[in-house]
Amino acid sequence: MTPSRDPAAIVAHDLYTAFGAGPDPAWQALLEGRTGFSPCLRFRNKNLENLYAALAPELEKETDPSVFFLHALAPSILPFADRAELFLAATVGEIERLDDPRDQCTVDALLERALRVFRVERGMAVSAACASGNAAVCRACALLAAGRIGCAAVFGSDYVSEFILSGFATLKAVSPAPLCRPYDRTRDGLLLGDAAGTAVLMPRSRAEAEGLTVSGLVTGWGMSCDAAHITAPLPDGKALACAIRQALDRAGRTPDDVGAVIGHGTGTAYNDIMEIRALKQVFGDSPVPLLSVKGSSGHTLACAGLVQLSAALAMLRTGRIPPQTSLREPEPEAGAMLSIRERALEKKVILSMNSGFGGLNAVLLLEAAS
Amino acid sequence: MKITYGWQVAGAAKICGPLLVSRRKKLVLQSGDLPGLLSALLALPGLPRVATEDFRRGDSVVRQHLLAAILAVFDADAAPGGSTALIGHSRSGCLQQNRAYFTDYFQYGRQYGKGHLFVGTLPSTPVCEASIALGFHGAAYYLDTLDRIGDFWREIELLLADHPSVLAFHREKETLFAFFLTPGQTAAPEDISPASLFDAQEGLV
Repeated sequence: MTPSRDPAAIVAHDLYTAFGAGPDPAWQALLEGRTGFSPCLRFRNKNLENLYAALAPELEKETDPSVFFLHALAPSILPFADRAELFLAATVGEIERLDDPRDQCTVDALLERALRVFRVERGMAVSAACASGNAAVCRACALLAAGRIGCAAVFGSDYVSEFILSGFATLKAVSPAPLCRPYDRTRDGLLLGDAAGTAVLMPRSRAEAEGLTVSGLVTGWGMSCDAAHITAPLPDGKALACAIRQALDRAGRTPDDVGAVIGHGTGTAYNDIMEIRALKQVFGDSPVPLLSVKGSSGHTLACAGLVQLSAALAMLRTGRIPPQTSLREPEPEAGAMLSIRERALEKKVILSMNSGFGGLNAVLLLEAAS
Repeated sequence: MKITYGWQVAGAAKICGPLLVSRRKKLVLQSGDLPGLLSALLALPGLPRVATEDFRRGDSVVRQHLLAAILAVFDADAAPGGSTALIGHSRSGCLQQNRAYFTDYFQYGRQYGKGHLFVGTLPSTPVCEASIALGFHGAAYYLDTLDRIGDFWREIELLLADHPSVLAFHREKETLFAFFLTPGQTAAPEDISPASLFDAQEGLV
């Protein structure tokens, strides 16, 4: 792969999490090691009330959370509506409409709605389970690099619904505790979270010509599939390692260039160890700093990649790597990758990884604009 | 208007109800049900070894994907394994599967959902099941282009820049097409339908 001379520049982004509107509240929570989890009383279902999730208070009275998120984040996309193509990161679509036989609660319906709200003419939905966020950015970057489009607006959202929470609980993937401990030896499952995020990308040359502020670059991306199991990841992390190498190759980077990794880090036994093993295959014995945002804002499914992208941009801007939220006893195989203390970002290149059911992996390489 | 796409159809299969047919080898398999079609498929002389032990775990959409995927790869004389990419394309997402999971969950008093029904609610699950059966490790995802089929064909072109081949699915009502595509050139109408592409003779799109 030949590195692009005109990488994708991020010219706008926004985020909405349990900590509130905008990227800053979530970033501050990460820096302070704060968590956003509270008992899940949203469904009036006693079977789920003993579980915790990172819930956005504004959604409690919303009958239509998908639409709320679309309108909340529209201001970051509307200035580009005349020239952007929409990439919707989606998991299962508008599930709040399941009881309404007139409405098709599919990814398709959510895409049509998003196009209307954002006033964007064209778009596509990319669905790759919990890797959907990064996968949508990967496909947007592929089209930009090929010169097929001039501007991409990526949107991803998911919220804690009874449908989703009951499903993950059925699979025994949800932690019974009020904390999620990514990469911890005692980790016992994920906690879900509400979130929506956006990122608007265009070739750096075009961003500069339009006089836009560039907050970061996506210089590399890679995707792979474990082809092993429908829910569990490949234990040795080989396929994820392959996606990481693709991202590095495409950017013309080596593992030595990477300053930090934002992992998928769900806090489940299988995912976290798989990621650590994948990183060891690529980085060898050099312990690259590793962080998961899910100990703070929860697993936000289709939005996970965009929450990570927002954190990566803040890390590139400030030169700070937040402490790992809720880390008590680091997973022994991770060695010195993890820290309960804030660290300095020595090299302004960050890997961001997503993995999802079905063994889907999507990796981004983000760099500072300068 | 015809344009030249950067791919060629090396093999393809179509499944509709109990009928499974291949494009190049003109194979026609018929059975009363999908497990019967699997038996007929696995009995084909020369079929490479594929992992179908978990065929029963998926719903009918997953099973259709498995059957069409295996036959399309066989039709192309391709081998399982390697870094082939997989892409699913339709507008129906997973509505049927969402309803199946949630109806079952409510029927059991909102206490227990069923794991296999929940996993089936992801539109990417059928392509993942196909990747497992065939050992394909390339990029895999589901795409909805709101019926702009040209965007789907172009997406395959982009995938072929990074992968040796692409297994592409298109679902439309009760029919599922699986195309095994490799780098090459195909002159075709920009919005050629999967049905027309399947029916066209090789080299005469």
